Amino acid sequence: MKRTGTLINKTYRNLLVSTLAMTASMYLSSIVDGILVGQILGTMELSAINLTYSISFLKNIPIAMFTFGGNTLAIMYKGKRDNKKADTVFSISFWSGILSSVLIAVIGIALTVPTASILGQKNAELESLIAAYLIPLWVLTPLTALNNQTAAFARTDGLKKLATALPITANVINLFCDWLYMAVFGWGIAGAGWATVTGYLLGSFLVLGYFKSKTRTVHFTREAWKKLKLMGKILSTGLPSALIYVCNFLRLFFTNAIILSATGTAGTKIASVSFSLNSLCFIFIEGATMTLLPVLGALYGERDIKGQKLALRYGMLVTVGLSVIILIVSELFPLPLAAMYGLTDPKITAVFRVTFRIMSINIPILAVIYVMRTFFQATKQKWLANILVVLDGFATVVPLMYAFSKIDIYWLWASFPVSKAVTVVITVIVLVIYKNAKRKDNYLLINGEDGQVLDFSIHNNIEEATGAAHKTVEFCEENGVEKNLSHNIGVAVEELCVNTAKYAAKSQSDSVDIFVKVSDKSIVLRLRDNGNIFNPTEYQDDTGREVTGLKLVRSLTSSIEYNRVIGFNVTVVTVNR
Amino acid sequence: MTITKTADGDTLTIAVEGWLDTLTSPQFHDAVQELDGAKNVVLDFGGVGYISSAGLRETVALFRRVTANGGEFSVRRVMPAVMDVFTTTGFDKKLDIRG
Repeated sequence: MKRTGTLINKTYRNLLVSTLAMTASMYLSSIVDGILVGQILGTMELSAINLTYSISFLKNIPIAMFTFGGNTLAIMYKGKRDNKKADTVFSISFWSGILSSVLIAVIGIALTVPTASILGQKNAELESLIAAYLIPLWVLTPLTALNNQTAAFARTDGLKKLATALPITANVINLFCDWLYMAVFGWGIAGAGWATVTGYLLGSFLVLGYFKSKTRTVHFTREAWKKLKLMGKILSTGLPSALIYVCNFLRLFFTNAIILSATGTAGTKIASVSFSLNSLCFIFIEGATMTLLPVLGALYGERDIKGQKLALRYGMLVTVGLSVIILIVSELFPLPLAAMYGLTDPKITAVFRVTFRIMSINIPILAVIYVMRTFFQATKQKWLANILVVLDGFATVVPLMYAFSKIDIYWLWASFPVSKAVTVVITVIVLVIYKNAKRKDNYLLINGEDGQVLDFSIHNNIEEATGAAHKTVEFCEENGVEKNLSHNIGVAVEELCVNTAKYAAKSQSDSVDIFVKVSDKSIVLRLRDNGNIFNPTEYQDDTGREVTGLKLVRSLTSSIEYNRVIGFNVTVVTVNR
Repeated sequence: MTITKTADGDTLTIAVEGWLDTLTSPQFHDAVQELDGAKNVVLDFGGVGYISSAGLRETVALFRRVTANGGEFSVRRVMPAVMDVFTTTGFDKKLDIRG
């Protein structure tokens, strides 16, 4: 019996689809708008949409900060079985996300004319098109906050269908309205923006489904307003996610300027298509890593070190796997991808075919960077996460692109993979130096367990439950635990696993992770499964039996605690020595 | 798990060796259905190093059956860790049980 990643991997896979739907909604609305605008309205309107991409990143900064900061922190508190703080974090982050997005939208609308002027670079036609598109783009901001925050909490509460339906509904309506407003009503470029607003507005009715759900584990609490000091923690936890948008905004702003000055309008056309296609890769890479974030957050909260390593390995495998698929597609089909955007001029596509292939090499390296950043973010090594975000998002690519642009257009685009490789090398050097200086146990900079640990997994069935009890008793006795206490911990393992197999298991292939830690003062047992909700601290046996497993566990142990987190039943039993 | 029965007049001694848990208790249950006409039962737990609720339930059920028929029931040579379970659950006061 070894500790396996079966349980964690299954939960990761279950969360992946809904997270991909969420990241797709974050990127697709602007990508699809761009493609449809190009097809229905023309290239000038397409250029205007492309120039507003930086604003799309800008408006997502507070949303990402509160969505991912609040969601990750709430899960960490749930991992620590502090449900009151989880509710407080949920309340503060949810309402702060809505209020800040309203505020930024009001400011954005008030500054529409000067913003359009900066983005349009003194081209009057472009400026008026951008201004028309910017107003619905800003109106969209609070709706995006409402939908994304709700989807994030619904996802981690196991309400996967709702979490997936929310962004998909919004974007399907958006697509239909794009056609309706632009092609039928003739609203022009503003129609593209209002179509997105309509999609999110109608999609937000699904939000009610989450708030009516009886199985959601976080709730609004008035106590939150007395504990606003948690805001700092929410913001610092969400900062690496928000920093991505800050860096994307800055990178887009500067790289566009370098590309325009070095390669002219043909280079700008290549850039707009390349960046838009690159956004498609972000849907998968960011989706895969954002799925990892709550899983790692919960495991960090439970101090499950082995689990964190297993989740990191699996998350890395999935993310790099997805990125390699995108790389292959990009390397094989650059011209059909360009044609999707109407880029068919042979002179430009001859260059694009090479530059896009060079640029695409960055995708798998980007995947590694994103997974590592997520790991450091979830394990509260925020400084490392922030270093990665700044290096990757801005600090390496902009200077390299500026330097390489002096050579030729191909070197200019090589700045993307080279900057990613430089980011990885710098990060590895930092990790080696820090590990040696601080005498950490490993290069992930997480410390090992203090005490003797038994960590293994079993199938969720009665046969393996008794085997687990044998193994636990043996381990406890080998590590000097008194015979009667070893016996009692063994009984706790058997009884709780048998109950899980009887009442919570969804299938025989499900796993239960068992963790036993022996220290001087106590023996701690933690059981985790992904079955139906089963709370052993509240379960009332109605069989009329004189002796029940749970009664026996309660009488033989010092305490039992239960928590439901990201679809896991987590039961912690303590026996004091 | 090994179960050995030894009859001595009205008394049947049932010696159990191994773990009395969820998996093995059905075997114990089947073995004690036939008491070979004995009135009294002595359970020899000298070889039982572990007991869970399933084993405890079978022991208590046997105790109820024997005493309901006017017989005497006792558990002997109980190991300390197993005795702890009987003590914690209060069955040490209901059953004639000794270490």
